[in-house]
Amino acid sequence: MRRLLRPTLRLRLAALYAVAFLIGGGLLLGFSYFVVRDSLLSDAAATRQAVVHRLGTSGADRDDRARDQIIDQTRRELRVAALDRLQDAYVLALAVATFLSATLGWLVAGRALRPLSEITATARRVSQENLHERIALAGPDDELKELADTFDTMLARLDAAFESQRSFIASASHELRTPLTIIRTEVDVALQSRDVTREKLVAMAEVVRRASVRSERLIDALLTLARSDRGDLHRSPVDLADLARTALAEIADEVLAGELRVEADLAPAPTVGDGALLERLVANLVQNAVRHNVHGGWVAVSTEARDGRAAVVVANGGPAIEPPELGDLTTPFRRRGAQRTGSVRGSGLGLSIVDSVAHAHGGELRLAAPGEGLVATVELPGA
Amino acid sequence: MRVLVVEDEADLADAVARGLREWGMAVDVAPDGDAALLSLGVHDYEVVVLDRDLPGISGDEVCRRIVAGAQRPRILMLTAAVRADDVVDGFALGADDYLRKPFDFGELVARVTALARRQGRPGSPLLQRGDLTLDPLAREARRGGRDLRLTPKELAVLRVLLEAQGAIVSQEELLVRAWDEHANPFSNAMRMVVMALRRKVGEPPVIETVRGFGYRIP
Repeated sequence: MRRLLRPTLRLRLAALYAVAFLIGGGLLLGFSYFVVRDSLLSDAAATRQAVVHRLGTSGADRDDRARDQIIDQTRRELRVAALDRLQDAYVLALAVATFLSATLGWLVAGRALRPLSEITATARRVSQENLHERIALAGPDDELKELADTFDTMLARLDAAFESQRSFIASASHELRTPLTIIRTEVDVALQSRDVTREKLVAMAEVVRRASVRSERLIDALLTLARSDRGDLHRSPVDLADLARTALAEIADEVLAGELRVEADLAPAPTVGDGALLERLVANLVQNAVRHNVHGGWVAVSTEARDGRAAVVVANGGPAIEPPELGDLTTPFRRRGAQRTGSVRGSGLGLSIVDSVAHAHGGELRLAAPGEGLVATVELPGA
Repeated sequence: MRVLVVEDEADLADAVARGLREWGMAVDVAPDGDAALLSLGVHDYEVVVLDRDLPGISGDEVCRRIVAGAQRPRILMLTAAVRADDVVDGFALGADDYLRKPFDFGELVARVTALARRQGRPGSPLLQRGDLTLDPLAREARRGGRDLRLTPKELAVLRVLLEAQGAIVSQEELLVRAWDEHANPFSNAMRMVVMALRRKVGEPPVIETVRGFGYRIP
């Protein structure tokens, strides 16, 4: 019962129609009532004359005063009767019409508001589990459609955000589980082996060590990503050229092993930002270029200050990348060619971290595939 | 008993293979889906330990092809996924069993052994012929209550001979089922193992040589 009497929009609209009609109809009928009454009141003398004229000479003998009195009284009585009837008819008509207009208003409002209940029903149904549901309201391009479409766009954004979160968690848990599985299996096998030799134990220890270094690196990368995504920055002046020099020095062994040619063009590129995160950013770009390369290939690293911005560009040779793959490279745990990382060296988060750190500093990462290898450009606000 | 381990993580594949060999299984390793299908085309396996997340041809696809194939080894799926949906999906694809990473190695062995048993006749996990018994899970062979203390390879050979239930096992079959793809068919490793096995089993001898053909335990 409470639900029925709830002051719903539909009820209020219907009431509004009824009141509007009541006022409009009342004014109209009132106006007409007064016009009729006025015309009945006017021209008392003319009426008298007409009556005298019709009565003819026979009536001329009568006392004028008495005759006029009769006429006036008759006239008054007729007028009152007519106006009473009119009043009754008007009141009845107004009541019926108001009731009809309220009913009509109720129906029309219900019809106009039906899309709203669709929107409400969808909003009620949608939860984290079925964010892919949409209202997809059909019908005229009106305010309600606009509302429904806006709601749909919001759902799409939420859906995408939740989906990427879910896939990130799934990938991260997969990546974390893999080294754990290796460690556990190695240890289980060693414990259950019938003849444990020193060589077997040393081999096991090496695998276990490798796996634990890998999970350590992964956890570090995840923490870096989390910190950068949170925008938790300790700002200080930093020169990207210095960071690039450090990164190149750190990876010198791998450069040597791969017999890579390195071209470094490091002009000062001062910026203000979180030293540790920016160091990670530059190091990841350089590592990426060195590791996704061919034996005897090349790597080019340059830094510069351009148009008040600090830029670092890292390019490398190596296998060509299809342009559709480019967007995927910043997706966590995605790697060229394969769906997932399998390498012991990388965390699979390299470019995701670069992208996140660049964004946290108000800069951006741009990737280009010029037909050979990859060109990664990061631009940050200059100091 | 021959097992194919399909796993892209080299360290993990290696550890699993080494472990299963300790239980007297002949184990081959395939690092991706393509290699797995290649191995499956060449050898008969009793059990395939299949990682679901493989580069290239996915574990799901490999599973589908195994199920569609004429040879139908049992499939034990491994996955790092945590959701129950994933397990249900795996079974829907035709996997016979499912194990989540990280797993207990003892459990893996138990499941692989159970799957291999399902391959043939149902029955006791204990293999027996006369007074000779073999418990594959415990890796224990006994003759009249005496523990024979077999090496993994001897265990593998004895298992194949006992599973034949008195039938003759050809040298080729023994090679295929007790050795992996790295075995050299021209070496006399098999003769050496059978010899060692005979010595451990003791008197009276139970392993017969069928000259020019193979062996049997009548």
